[in-house]
Amino acid sequence: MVNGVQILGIAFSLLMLYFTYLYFKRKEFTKTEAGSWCAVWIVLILLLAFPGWIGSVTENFGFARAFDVFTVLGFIFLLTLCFTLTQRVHKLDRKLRQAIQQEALSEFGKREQLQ
Amino acid sequence: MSQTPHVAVVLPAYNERARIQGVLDALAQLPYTVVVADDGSKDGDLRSLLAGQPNVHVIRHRVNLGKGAALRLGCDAAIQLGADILVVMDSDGQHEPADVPNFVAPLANGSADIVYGARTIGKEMPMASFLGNKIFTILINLLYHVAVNDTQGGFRSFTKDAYAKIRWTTDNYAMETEMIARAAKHHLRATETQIKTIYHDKYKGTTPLDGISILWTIIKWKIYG
Repeated sequence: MVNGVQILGIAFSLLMLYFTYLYFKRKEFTKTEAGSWCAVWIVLILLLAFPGWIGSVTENFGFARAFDVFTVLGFIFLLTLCFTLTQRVHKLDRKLRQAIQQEALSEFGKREQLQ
Repeated sequence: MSQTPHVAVVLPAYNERARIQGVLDALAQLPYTVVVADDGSKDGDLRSLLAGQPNVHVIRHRVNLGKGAALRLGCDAAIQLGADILVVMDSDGQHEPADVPNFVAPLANGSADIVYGARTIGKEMPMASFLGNKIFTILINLLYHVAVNDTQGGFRSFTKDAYAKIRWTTDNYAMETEMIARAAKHHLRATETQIKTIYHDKYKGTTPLDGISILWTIIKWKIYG
């Protein structure tokens, strides 16, 4: 019997699938990005629809229920995403600051006829 | 140091259109070059607002990056203009331009590499600034074995050679602390000069969040040198 959590999860995943398709069409996602996210949502839909498929994972890794597997995997996924995004944002921030300062100095040098 | 060193006064400025002219008018009485580092001000581009003023050079960030970044930019520009001595001060009237010669003298006569301005940390300060300053001053003096009475004050001066050693990487208010840490690391000869405590706007300047950044800078520089 399908429970409320499964319905909610499948509905959420279908919505995210739609947004992934939309961003791909708007060229905000590359093919690789769209493909990766589609794979995530489809796997999520299948596991939610057929939770028995992760029965062996539940038993072998000592989880009490399938929901706990989803929770733990979800946390790992979010932490990895946070880590990657933090690193990318810091890198962009550094590049932007350097570019702004170099531009300011260059413009100053030209205006003051130092170059 | 040459007999007549080229002195540049560097003013970081963010939205100081209303106050900066008063500071510049006072500095005009002194025989020093002035470099204004406009940190992406939204109340007007200081390059056009201050154009034509004798001895005043303006450099501008396209967007706001923080006091540390603006000050570093201004100092780099001053070095490009040939400055031997750099005096850094606030552009909002919290520092008296008449005190600038007191910051120049010890550097010009070779008795110091860096001069710190020391405010009387007392009743004139907003409570948050008073507490923060007290705590950070005790911590910095303890950890870095220095004797700086006002570690968060922005009125300072240093020689060109000293600047090369203390050139900070921090873009925010924690640069005051990084400057002291680097000066201590390079064993620069430091001295202090007394300055007035002036606060026009108690809501401006460092916030408790900046305090966290300053604290992290204090610890980071102690551990990583």
